[in-house]
Amino acid sequence: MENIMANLEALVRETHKSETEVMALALQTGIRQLMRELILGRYLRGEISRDEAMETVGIDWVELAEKQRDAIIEDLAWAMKK
Amino acid sequence: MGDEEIMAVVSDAGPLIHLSEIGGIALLQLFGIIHVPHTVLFEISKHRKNISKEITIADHNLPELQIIEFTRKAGLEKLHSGERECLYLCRQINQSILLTDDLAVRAVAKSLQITPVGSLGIVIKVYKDSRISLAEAEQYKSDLCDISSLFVTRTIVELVIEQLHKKTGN
Repeated sequence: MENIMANLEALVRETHKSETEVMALALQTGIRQLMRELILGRYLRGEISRDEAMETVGIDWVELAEKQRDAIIEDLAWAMKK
Repeated sequence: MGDEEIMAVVSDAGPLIHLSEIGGIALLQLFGIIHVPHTVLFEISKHRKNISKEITIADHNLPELQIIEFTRKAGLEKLHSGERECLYLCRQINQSILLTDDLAVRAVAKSLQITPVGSLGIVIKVYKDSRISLAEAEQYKSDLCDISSLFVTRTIVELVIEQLHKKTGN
């Protein structure tokens, strides 16, 4: 919490926005990030199509999630082998 | 003890930093020796002074001209100098495993017949070798996502935990 308050103060100071504006932006950004996680999660679990995921979060995020998934599949195979 | 003793690996800065951020640097004791280019060790020691107290690190000063030549031949210009040196070091000391969390480095490593392994993979391996419990493995994985500076989609971590449960029948 202390860290969050220090960051909030720094953002107000550096961006010359009011505390209310910074808080509103933080909420917007946070919600967008959580939505992105939700959509990518649904795609990686096979609940929505690649096209649907791309439409919502964009191709860059979908490709990054796919690369991360492929990497962890490789790591898992390496770690579990006899 | 695990099925297979891995005596030595090469590591770039990523796993060393990410695991130390979650208090998990001792997980690297799985490997006998961690070979690290001096450039990488210098970068890490700026942030983590005591990293070599818990694990055995071999610091390598690498010849600049040979790295330039290796970079040119392998087309590695887009990678950072530390990453290029790690790949060169793998070749020089004949190590086939590179610890890295960088997706671009992973792709290049595979093209050079080097096996890339990330921080999440290290946690799985340490668990698989019965050095930590499933609960501890789950905690390390969540911390990598929530506390460390490793950027990973949360669902990936959840899927790994699900896979561990399936494979171990828990």
